[in-house]
Amino acid sequence: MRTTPSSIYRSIQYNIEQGRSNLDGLYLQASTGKKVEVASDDPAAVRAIEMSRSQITMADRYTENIETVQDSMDSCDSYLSTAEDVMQRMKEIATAALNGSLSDADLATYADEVVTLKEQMLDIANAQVNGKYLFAGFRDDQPPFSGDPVIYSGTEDIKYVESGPAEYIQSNLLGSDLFIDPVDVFAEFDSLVTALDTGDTATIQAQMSSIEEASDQLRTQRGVMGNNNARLDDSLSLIADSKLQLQERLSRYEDADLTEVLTEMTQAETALEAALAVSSRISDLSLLNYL
Amino acid sequence: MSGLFGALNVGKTGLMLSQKGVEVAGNNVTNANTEGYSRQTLEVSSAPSLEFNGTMVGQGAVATGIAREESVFVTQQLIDKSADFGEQDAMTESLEEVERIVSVSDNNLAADIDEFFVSWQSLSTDPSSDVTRQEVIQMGDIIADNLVQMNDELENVQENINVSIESEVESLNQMLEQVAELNQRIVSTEVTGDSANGLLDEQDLLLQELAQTIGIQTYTTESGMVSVQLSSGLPLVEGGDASTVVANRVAGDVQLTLNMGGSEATLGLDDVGGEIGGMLTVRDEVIPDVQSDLDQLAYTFANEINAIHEAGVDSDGNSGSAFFSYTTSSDPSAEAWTGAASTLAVAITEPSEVAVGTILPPDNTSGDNTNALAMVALQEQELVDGSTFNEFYSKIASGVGLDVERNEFELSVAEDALVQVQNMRDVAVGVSTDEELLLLTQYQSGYQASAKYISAVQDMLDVLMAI
Repeated sequence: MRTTPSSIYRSIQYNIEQGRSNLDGLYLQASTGKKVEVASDDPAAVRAIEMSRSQITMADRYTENIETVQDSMDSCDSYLSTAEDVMQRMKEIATAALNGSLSDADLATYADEVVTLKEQMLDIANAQVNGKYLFAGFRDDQPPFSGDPVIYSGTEDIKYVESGPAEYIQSNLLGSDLFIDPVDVFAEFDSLVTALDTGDTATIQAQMSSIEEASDQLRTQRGVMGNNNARLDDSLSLIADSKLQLQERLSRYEDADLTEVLTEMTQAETALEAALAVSSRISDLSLLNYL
Repeated sequence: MSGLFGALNVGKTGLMLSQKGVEVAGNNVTNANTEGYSRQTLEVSSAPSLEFNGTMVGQGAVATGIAREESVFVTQQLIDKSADFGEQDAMTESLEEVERIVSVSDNNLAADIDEFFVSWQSLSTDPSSDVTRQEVIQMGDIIADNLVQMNDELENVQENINVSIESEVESLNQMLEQVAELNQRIVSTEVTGDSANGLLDEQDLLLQELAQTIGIQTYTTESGMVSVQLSSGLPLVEGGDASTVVANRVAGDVQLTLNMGGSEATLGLDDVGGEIGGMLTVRDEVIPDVQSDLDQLAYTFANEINAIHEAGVDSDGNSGSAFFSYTTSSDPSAEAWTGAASTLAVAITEPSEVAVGTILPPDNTSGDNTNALAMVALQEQELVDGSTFNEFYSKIASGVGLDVERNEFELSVAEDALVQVQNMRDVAVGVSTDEELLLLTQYQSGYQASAKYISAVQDMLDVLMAI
């Protein structure tokens, strides 16, 4: 077949261009560490990449949600632990009063202490974190407990926070469940004070069980929250695990395999070198050399 | 008349022929690298014999012409492949620009949408915080700004295409004029019996450029002139007459009209190919598709967010107002969402206007986060054409990615094919220096032989004269 120098030069030029652009692409991958810089690098991977990124963002957010809820749970827990101490002290006072050997003055002193305990309990019930009342349901900008007798003015709303896609966790305990219903804790204080003031041991005796019920009510709620809190620890480690998997998945789609890139780079370099070497030899072969 | 003087004449034709041959080979070698040059060959035939003393004696050789090597098939292929290459090549730059706009980097629109929901999540844990409410508004602003900007940038790409087309049209008309002029010159040259080799080369090259610019089909008429048509059959050059392409702005976009002497035709995507066709495809098909998708995303996103927001209650106890505002096209033939992306904006300004709760006064409370929860639930819902917002954006981006990938592939195929056909052309009609050198040697020795012959005849004449 007839060949002409211009067609040989054109082919070589074309091959060198191809080799260069191929090599440029590989250099870019090696220097950025990414194999998907623009969608056309791998259109099929775009969806997986965006999904993984979105899920990683959300995993971070769910972690933050859970940690916020856990902070608030921890605060609740420490307040409720104090509340249990208060109830314990109240029980001790009631038990002491039943002893029978106490003078009216002693009973009056106990009565004063119970009044203080009630105030302490009221402070707990109106506890605030970051300026928000913990046990007020949704009405967290006003003290939920006030008045004499003490009444609950918070709402009956449970505040949910998302801990995963369409998974919700309860972040608050209701003041009404803790202090009012079914046992009215503050009324227990009031009737104990009245009984102590009047030396009515029979009433005190009768109240022993309802004081216990009130303590149980607080303990149960605290226990529920404690369990939820522990469950959230599991959720956190699950989210951390899945985030790790997502990052691996993202990396698999998005990041360049350096070993592979370097191998391909060596191949491409060799091919380009060959094309360059050939171009310097074409002009050597010519009839001119022999004329 | 013959005899020894006649023999001298035979020698003379040999010398002249060899000289002509050296000239042709020399011209070929000189033009070995001239683009579009077709190899020329010397056409030789022996001169008619004359009777001399009862025998027929040859009278030497004559050059009957200088022919131009030609392959109609390859020329046709070059025109076709140039058009394919032009079309794909012209698309590359603007497609890559579109791809950059519909980005897959980690701070693209999909990430903004995620961040918007993250800010609502954060609001659900702290519903009364003005700082977080402000953040929600800001994240909304970022999404709106980003969509508006993407739309602006897409329009910029369209405008760049318009400007490119306008500048192509000028040289296009020049080329059409030249082809028509060459038609006349070639015919008038050939009528006188001369060869129009150089003009034919020039015309072939112009036709290739024309094909690359706008995509053409050609045929040669009986008169020897080339007729050039658009792929749809509209005439560009008929004999010595060239049509002109006029670029007008219609509603901001360049609209091409073909002016064919008496009549006019508006050129659409079906009429043109080559570079102009490729650019029009991106301007009129690829970009509007992406814009429509972004509009649909913006429209659905705004509507879904608004629906939830309007069902909520803000911190002043008022029912929520629309969170986003947008304006859509009033054109009845447009999609419901046309124009949404370019006009999207956050409609509320005050943190207190963010509707986080759902409980109406008098029972409204500062800690009510139920509307925020309803809002974050939108993120996972398949609301746009069966996809979540994030997935829908991914679809747009991967769609553009596929367009770019297809273009890269087809460009490399077209380039390969073009290189191959150009090589085929060189093989068929190009100049091989080795071949020309051999011819040169051949004619050189032919010249020597003729000279030797003349000197032999001269010797014989001398002998004759000395008698």
